[in-house]
Amino acid sequence: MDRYLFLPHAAVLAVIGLLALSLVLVVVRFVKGPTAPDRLAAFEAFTLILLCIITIYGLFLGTAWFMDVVLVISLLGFLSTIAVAKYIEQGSINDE
Amino acid sequence: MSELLGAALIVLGTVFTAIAALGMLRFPDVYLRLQAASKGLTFGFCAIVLGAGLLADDPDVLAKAFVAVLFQFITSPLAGYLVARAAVRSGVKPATPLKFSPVPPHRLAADQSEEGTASAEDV
Repeated sequence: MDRYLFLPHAAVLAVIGLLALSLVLVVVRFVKGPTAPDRLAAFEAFTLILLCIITIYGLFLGTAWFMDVVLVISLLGFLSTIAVAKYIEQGSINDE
Repeated sequence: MSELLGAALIVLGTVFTAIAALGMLRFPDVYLRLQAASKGLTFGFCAIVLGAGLLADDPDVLAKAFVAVLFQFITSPLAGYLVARAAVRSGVKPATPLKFSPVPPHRLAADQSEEGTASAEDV
């Protein structure tokens, strides 16, 4: 449990702060975005930046479970992105 | 050595992610924003996850990091392509007008004659 404590607190704080700032920029694009594909691209970017924050914070906490969380959330983000893209494109997500 | 490499990868990925998020905010167009999202953010995410896998000093975490990077390299261009195709087919215009049509002429005629209902079928 103690083996990751060589990471300095200030460096972790700086990295997570920069990632949180970019998260705020993406949320501003999500709110402003004039069209629906804008909001979808902003959602995809939000998912990726959130995964980056989860990775670094899990590494800082010293657990090994964060990589499973990253895998599952990236799968869910991809599936929801293609579902919403099909919905924007043809009005339903059925293929028939 | 691997700790130094992992820390350098995490810093590089963070800088790339911040620049890509700035591009998401500042670009004038859906297509350019997709460019920033699907290239810069993919590289930033992969660098951060590989750096974390190197820093964690655990072979399981490193293997899962490689799986996550491979999955992201497969799915991120697909998602960008699908969002761009949805933007084209729902009629989003680029910020600067194009000199050519992104849709081929026979598709364009079919869309105009049938009010876009056939465009969902003939992919």
